[in-house]
Amino acid sequence: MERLIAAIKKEFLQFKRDRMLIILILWTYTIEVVMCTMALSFEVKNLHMAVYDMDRSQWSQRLVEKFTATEYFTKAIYISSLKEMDSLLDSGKVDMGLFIPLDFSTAVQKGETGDVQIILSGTNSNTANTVRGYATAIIEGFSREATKEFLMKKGMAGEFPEVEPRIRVWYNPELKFRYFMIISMIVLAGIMVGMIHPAATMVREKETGTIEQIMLTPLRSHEIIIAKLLPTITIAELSLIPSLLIATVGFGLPIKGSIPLFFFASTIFLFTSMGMGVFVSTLSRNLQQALLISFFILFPVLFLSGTMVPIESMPSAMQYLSLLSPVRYYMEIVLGIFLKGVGLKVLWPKLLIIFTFGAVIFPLSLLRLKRGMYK
Amino acid sequence: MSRYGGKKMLNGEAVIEIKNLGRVFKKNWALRGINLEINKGELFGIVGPDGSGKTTLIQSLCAILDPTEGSIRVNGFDTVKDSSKITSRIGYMSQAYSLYEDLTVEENLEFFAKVRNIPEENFIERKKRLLEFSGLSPFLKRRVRHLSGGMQKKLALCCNLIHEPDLLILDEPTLGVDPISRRHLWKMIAEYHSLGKTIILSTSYMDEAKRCGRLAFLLEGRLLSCERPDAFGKDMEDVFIANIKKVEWKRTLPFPRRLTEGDIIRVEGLSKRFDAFTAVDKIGFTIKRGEVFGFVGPNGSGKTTTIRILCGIIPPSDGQVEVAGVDVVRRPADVKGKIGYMSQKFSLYIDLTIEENINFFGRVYGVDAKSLEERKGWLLEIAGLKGKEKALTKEVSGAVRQRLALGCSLLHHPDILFLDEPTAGVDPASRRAFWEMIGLLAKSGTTVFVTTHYLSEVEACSRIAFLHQGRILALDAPERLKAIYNTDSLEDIFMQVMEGNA
Amino acid sequence: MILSALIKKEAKEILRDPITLGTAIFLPLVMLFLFGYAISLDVEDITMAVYDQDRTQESRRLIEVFSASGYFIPRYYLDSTKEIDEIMDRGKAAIAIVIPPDFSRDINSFKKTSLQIIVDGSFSATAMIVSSYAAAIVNSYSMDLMERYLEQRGVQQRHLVGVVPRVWYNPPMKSVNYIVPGLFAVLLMAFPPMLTALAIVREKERGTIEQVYVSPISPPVFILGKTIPYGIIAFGEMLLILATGTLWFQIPFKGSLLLLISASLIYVLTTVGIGLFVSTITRTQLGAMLLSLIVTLMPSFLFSGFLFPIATMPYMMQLYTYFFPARYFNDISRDLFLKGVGLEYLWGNILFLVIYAAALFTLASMRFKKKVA
Repeated sequence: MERLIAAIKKEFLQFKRDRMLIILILWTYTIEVVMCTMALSFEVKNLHMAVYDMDRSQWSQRLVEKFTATEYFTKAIYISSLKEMDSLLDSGKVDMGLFIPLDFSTAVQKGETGDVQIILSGTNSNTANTVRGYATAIIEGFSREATKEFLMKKGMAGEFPEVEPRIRVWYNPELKFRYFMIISMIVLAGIMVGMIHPAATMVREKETGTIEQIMLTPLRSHEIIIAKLLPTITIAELSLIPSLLIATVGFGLPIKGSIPLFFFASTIFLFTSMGMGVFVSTLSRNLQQALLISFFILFPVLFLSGTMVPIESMPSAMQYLSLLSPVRYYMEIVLGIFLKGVGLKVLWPKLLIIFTFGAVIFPLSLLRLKRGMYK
Repeated sequence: MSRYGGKKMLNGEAVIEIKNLGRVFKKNWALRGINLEINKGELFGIVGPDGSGKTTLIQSLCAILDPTEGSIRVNGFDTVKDSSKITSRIGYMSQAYSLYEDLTVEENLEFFAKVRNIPEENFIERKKRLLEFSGLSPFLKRRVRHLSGGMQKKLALCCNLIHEPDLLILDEPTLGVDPISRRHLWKMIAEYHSLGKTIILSTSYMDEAKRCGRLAFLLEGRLLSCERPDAFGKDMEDVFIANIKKVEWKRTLPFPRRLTEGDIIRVEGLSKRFDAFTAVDKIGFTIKRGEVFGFVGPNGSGKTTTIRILCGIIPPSDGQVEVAGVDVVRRPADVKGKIGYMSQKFSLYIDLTIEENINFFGRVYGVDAKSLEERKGWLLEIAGLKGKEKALTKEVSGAVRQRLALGCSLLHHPDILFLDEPTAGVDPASRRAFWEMIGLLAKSGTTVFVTTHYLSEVEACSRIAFLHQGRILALDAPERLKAIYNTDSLEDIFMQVMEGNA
Repeated sequence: MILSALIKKEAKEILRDPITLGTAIFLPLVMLFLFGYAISLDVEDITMAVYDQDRTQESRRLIEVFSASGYFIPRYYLDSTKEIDEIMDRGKAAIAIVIPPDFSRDINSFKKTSLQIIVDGSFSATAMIVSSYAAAIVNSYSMDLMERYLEQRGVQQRHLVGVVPRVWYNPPMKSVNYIVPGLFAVLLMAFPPMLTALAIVREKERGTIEQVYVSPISPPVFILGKTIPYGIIAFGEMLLILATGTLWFQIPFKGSLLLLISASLIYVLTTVGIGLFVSTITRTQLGAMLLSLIVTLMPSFLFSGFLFPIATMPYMMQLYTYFFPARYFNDISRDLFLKGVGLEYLWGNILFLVIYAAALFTLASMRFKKKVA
């Protein structure tokens, strides 16, 4: 026991002296989180549209107003040629073009269908898809209105059949993307620090040669690892506090669930991340290799977790692969705790999975460590 | 006889003029008030204990370190203003690593030649000569990473001779190199000097210092004296030591005495193979308690591998090893608390303070608080670090770190102490002090197993084993060896044994 | 002459470090494949839960409409609102629909009715898409309903306004066409700067740099000697991605290949230049790595417009993105792939990159002194 404490003390001392590392870790948990949450969003708002209105009637006017009345489209620029449309779309000054043909209002007044074109720039298919969705919905709504009016004028009274979709968004009713974003960033910080820090400190002993010395002491391999991991887990857990404050107080993230549960889940997640880090260190000879290998593993793990791209949008093969990413489960857990307010009863299977990953990786690393002494 | 066939030239012309040179590093004056002139064709030596400013002086001469005060002129060029004119004409072998380890011998030479714009024909000719001369020809295609320390230094020297500079500056060129390679290196240096070239080198070997034309003695950044070696008197080493702060320490160790009866290490038929390469070939020996056992041999002879096997770090391929009653082959972990180990790199944690290192190693080995305090006090005193415990280990000089490392390996009072080249690169005074300590330890019952290159030191051993290519060629007490080989010099015995085996 | 010796040496060292080389080659490919296959932002097979309070032919038809679309898979048939809570809480379905008990009665008497659609908002990106797809399906069901109704009354009336979407540039709207050009900017910013910085700092740490100081190698030559090999690797990575992207993923390329290659060369110079500059600021390998990460990888991934649109960022952040070369190259790359524009359009961005690279190299040259301390 004594010797474990001595080892722990040493690790903390070394950690304390590595100022650059501490700053970097804190940065990742705070400033990086703030910057990314403020900046990044998949929402599509403040759209500009170019209107090429060959009809210039009351009807076309009403249609355009329907667009600008929404919160999605803020500006309508009237143009008078397709060429202008081209250059505006090209330069990105508008996100969409609306083309109303000459005979639009004539057709509508006669009770015939008048087609309008929406022109999208496919350079950004994310936004294009969404813009198309919005525009289509707006135009369809307008069409329904117009058709009803027309029918009523013709004397058809009463209601018209309709199934009205009543959309309720649970857990995040305003669909604030930033809640998702900030949680993603905190999770990202967790796995990065959890994985790279242990890898770096373990490889450092290899590089300086102190690993021989330490392996000759009565310290067992698992004691060495525990001592190494304590600073990591301490700072990772402590850093969650400013992150949480930023998320809740700064960005208004609701806390529907239990905060102690959050810390508990984070500890298990860190446990597994650190296991991955230790494993990486047994594969690397020096710091550069440790970092490169870490990235090689981190990237797919992060990607498949649903933080960058929704899992549902991946082909099924990838969706299955994503079941191997501990980050995926952690994301679901954290989102569950904050936005859904669920507790251990619901989340325990996911926690167990994360823990199992760690429980498998650590013994593997220990094995490699013991063997790795024999060069 | 010089292979270059040049004439000996001696000229009183000053090649280097140093005026009032001073250099400060963060409030610490590494050099102060140095005034010196070095003449053309001299073989000039710089000596002094660790931390006295030798490397700082050398780097300043090479124009890669600017003075804080004063000036240096090399061949009439100022090191600050005309550094490029200086660097293009000199050869410099730094103490630090200077070769590219993933490249082969040939590729390194080629690189240095191209960088100096040596035309192809000259290169081919010089390369051939240098390789033959240094004995590196058979290793042309080998990567530097796989060369021994001695060979690496030889190659580094060749790389700096490829452009045949008039001025050659070497920073401890034979540091940590085995005796045979050391002789070769000196042969190369001496031959080059005989061409009339100016050579400046720093060293901590007394015999090398004696071969220099003049010596500059540095102490704590100041030039103590600058004379010819014989002006220092008969026993230069004593003079050397007299000028350095005497290391005072208690003659008693803070450890209880031990039995000095019985065997403590038993090795039989030990072999170790790495793929096709046999590092250790069926060696066997027995060591008694309280012995100081010396393992001598060139790099690559299997010394480090043997120590590692004895410590339980790597398993042997064949054979039986018993250390302090523990069957190391089957239960390597059991030996951990009974041995102390000091590697060549003095593996301490450089980002911890001295005190923190001591505390760590003490506690990890389970030394109780009271004993730890006592031993810590003793260690700080013998290392001359009383009052400096809170300094970061990386800030202390190499010699001090060596003493610290030795002390840390002793804190738990191990039965056996394994030392792998413990005095590499340390000045004579410190080396002497170190060996005095080892003697004391042995008397108190601690067995010491040490590997070293410095044949002068193994005189102090109870028995010596000469190791070459994985086999023990001779094993006996020094006096008996001297009688057998009929010579008083252990170095000669070493040569004979090696060459006999070749 | 000296330069070629430096490059040759560096090349040999790189080739003899399999892990670094392997990562440099394989990681971009891994990223390419992951992004290429995963990103479509067109979801399919979304698990849906259904609470059918009506259980009639009509309500079953509605559910059919959902599953026939290909977007939704009705997997859970529930019997109470409590079950909805459970399913949604556990995250087992992304969407749940609640069909009211009088649904078929209302439909058959052509009255207005409603459908509750519950969407899991925690994964917001999915939620937006899921809700808009669900709404679209319901809307088109409503339109059919209306038309049936009118037919019954003998009125032939179609809806008055139709929507015809046209997509200019990237008509198939394959997300991979959009992602891959942007990926160039990110990948070339991922490792070359870090490797360059490490290569230089490593020499400082080991001490081999002293030999460089005491040699005729001038600072600009030394710098070129380090940057060119890594520039070549970066360039090789780019060609690899280009080949895989066009040949395997069949991404259309409308612009001039020559222009892409030249612009890439310049971009590579900026990325390697950043690594160079980082090496003049730090002394340790760890420092070099960490600094490179903060300054290159993360910003290029997050702020170049690659994945997240710049236009929606707050103004201050938009200004921030101007500092990163990745943003400019991202635009150039996308424009060349998807729009096929020419130099007259791109010269602004290219000029900026040239200035950026030149500034970096000059700064680095000035800071690099052949002195130990």
